[in-house]
Amino acid sequence: MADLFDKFQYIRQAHAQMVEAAGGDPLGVRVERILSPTEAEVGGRRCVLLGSNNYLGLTFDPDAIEAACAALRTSGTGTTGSRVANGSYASHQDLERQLAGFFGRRHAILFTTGYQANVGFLSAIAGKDDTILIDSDSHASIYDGCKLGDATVLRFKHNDAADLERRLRRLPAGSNKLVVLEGIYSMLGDRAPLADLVAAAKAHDAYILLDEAHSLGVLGEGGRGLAAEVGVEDQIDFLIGTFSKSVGTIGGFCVSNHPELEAVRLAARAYLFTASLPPSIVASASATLERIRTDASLRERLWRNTDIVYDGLKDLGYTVGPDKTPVIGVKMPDAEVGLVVWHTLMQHGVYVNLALPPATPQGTCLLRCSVCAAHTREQLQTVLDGFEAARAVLADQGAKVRAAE
Amino acid sequence: MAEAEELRTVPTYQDILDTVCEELNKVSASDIELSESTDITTDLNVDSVAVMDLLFALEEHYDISVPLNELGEIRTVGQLARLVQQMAVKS
Ligand SMILES: Cc1ncc(COP(=O)(O)O)c(C=O)c1O
Repeated sequence: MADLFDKFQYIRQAHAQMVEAAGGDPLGVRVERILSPTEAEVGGRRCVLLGSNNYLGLTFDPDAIEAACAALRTSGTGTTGSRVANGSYASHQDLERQLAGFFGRRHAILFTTGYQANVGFLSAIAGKDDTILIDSDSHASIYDGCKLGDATVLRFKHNDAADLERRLRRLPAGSNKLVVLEGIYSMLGDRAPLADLVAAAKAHDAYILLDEAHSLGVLGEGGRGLAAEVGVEDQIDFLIGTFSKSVGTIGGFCVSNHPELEAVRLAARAYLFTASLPPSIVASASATLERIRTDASLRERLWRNTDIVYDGLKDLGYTVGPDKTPVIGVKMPDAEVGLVVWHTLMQHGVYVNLALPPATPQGTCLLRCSVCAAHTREQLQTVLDGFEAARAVLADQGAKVRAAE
Repeated sequence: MAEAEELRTVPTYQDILDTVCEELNKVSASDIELSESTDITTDLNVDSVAVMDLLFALEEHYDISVPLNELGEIRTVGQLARLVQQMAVKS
């Protein structure tokens, strides 16, 4: 009889080869002890975390921890229910009001993760006669939300306003169109050319959804993201975000001025059929959001550190993404070389994410770095020293690849 | 003028098949001879993202937009060519 798991044979083989080549499993890294937002013990060694998405280093924010502990004691470890049943506490609704205020919008809806916010919102809003246009480098949650919905889904070339415009032009006037964008793209760290994309979308009366997952707390006044920085907040119909990056916990949300947004609560299955966030998470998210809004020094530190890492890697001769942001995708010639370099960095006490296709654009292998406001000068020196040591390995590997060709 | 006329003629299935094969050869590492029944994923080992990227070239070539919804059913080179033809007729 055939085995249900036969279909994974190819993936498993590829994975086994990778583990052997790397001398360890980059996808199965075990953090033995987390020491701070920027440091952990991995494989018996202290590592600087340069792949945590913890842009502001707020995972150990004392106020957030206090608020979470207090909520745990007063409200327990979980809600054990959906928002439409027993899982809507006053604190969830207060956090929704806080989020709406944070972004200057009338409505906000909390989801249990950012993944669920995209899947829930997109699959609910996408009707049979509607068209969703997504950027080709969109996050998996955007693709999955589209797949679950009934709309026609078109994919436009990454960050290409002219290509978006061409596709919009072919659609019948008067039909519903929704353009889906991200602020900072999670792999290469490039920003959306938002002014051009917004102009193209609005010229065809399309709605715009912007996922600020990696730009919340990182860009714009008050940490409100790319739309705030570019000055087009009023053109963004739906803004989606997550608490799992700069907010330092877990959770997702959608904010909007659309008068009917509340209907999403009754239609989005990823909202209806899952338990709501635990009260402790709600409490810590509320505390860090307030810190993000009021403490601009966090962003200043983040960008100072970003200068050091981005410029430093460039000076060392690495190929990095086109825009300087706290997400830095270092391009590797192929997965094999990427693995060896990744392993070398680990040996030098530097943890980065190894990113492989299909998560990466154009089948590339990336060493994905994310900078944190809490990285110290010494830690960043360790990072650059690690990359300097890896440079020799990279040159050596590159020569081997060329010789084999 | 000549250009405008060219745009109006609908490409034949064979034309499209040739273009699809040409584009697939660019992204596939496999040496096997392409035919209509070649399975894009299992025979050529071209993943779903690479297929979507390849679609950009076909869309540009024929000035069409192919919805991702239509791509789910596509397994073979011939099916992909037929899908592009359908879209080219519609536009
Ligand atoms: C662009 C984008 N959207 C959504 C998500 C999902 O966020 P969460 O971790 O809250 O599910 C991510 C995180 O990986 C992301 O990069």
